[in-house]
Amino acid sequence: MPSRFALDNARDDDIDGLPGNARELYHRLERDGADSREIIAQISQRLQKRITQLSATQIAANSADANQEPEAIATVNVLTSPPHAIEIARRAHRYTLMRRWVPVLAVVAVVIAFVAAISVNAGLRAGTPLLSQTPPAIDLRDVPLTPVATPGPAARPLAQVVTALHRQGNCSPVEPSSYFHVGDAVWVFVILKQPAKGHTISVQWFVNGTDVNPPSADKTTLILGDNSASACFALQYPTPGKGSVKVYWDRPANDADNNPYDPSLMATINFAVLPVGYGTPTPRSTGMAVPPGRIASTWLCQ
Amino acid sequence: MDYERFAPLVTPHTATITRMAAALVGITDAEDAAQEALTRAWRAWPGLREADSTRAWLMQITVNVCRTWRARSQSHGDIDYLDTMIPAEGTPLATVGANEHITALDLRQALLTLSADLRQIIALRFYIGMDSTEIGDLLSEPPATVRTRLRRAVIQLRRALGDGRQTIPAHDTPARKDA
Repeated sequence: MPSRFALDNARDDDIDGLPGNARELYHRLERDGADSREIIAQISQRLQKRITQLSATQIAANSADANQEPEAIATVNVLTSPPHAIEIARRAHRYTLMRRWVPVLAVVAVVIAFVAAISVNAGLRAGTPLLSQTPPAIDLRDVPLTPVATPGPAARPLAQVVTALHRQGNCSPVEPSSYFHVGDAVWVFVILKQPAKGHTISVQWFVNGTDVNPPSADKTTLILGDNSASACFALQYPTPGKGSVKVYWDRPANDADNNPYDPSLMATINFAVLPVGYGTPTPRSTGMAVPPGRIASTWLCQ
Repeated sequence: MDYERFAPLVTPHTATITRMAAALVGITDAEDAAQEALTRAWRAWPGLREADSTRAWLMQITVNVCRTWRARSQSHGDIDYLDTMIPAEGTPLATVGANEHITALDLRQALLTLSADLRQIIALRFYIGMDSTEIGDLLSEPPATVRTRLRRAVIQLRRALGDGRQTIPAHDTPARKDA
């Protein structure tokens, strides 16, 4: 029985031609390299899971194409990561850029924080409430006061889509709303008519029409398991704007466009992300665009 | 090639992909590079015609990804695979407490006395876990040549350890706790 230190592919008979004292060294090298080989073996195991996930995504997509009915009984929510080579490359490129700009950004952040602190202090001294700041110009014509979803071509399995401020228990919306503030988690809850094992629900987030999906696909995609009839996703918007989230059903991995007639589109729901301290307004229109936000973090409910 | 054949044909090669990535970009970045290679393979899968070519095809993708990876990370020059495993020269052995650690440091100090090509062979074989065929693929050398160089490397290392001041048998000596 080979120990964990032994090379797992020692088919080379390296050791047979070695003098006795060198054989002992051979085994020492085997033991010394065991830790790094173990790390590599663990990576390899994770890769195998990744392969399974890729295949599951494709099979789910094929099932949808064949209009198969979802199974009546199902169970677990399993995260899946469909192929996103472009996103991975973009992420790596972004990290490289970040490494270069970290010192500059740090200095800028300190300056901004200093200026902000002075401004707040000055405002408080003058007795001016911060809520009186001029609200940003955001076109809120499409944002209702309560969440209203626009169904898409793939809405058949859908019972309800709603945005909310909080989540309770296993995917129960708390305080449904269409208005959020910067820093809030915008929760979207997708509730199906019945469990749908093996099918995939994914979301795509936008601010002012710009795709702001996080680079990691596993934060925006769920593959339904046993008894799974709901899913929820959340995103934190760091900048104000008109947000929207599109919910997809078994979206193929190569489907990346933003077509409102996408056959995988279940529903679209619009909402507003307001500056901190700014109360829920009456929807109005000024027609101005706001720069797209960046993802602060995401959560998934399983 | 049908997507349904992706998992059965690619899964047996994940260990090779990972080892190749570790050898080309280092263990730290190996997982990300291997994932990217896998994703590229998935996207290009319909273009693969022969199932027998899967391994070579995957290796080519992995090598290409890793080359791009290294260019992107601006890490020019050859990787010293043992960078993260061998302490810098002159690291005081006395600071380490247990015999196993002393033995390991002793061994790694001795590895630094080898020439770069022999050290590379040792690293690929024992620390990355490649066999002579995989090393040969990577270095464009026949497996027999790899085995010869590996044998030479081990013997030279044995000599280096024999000349050293403290060579402690790795397993025969029971571990003791230093004060």
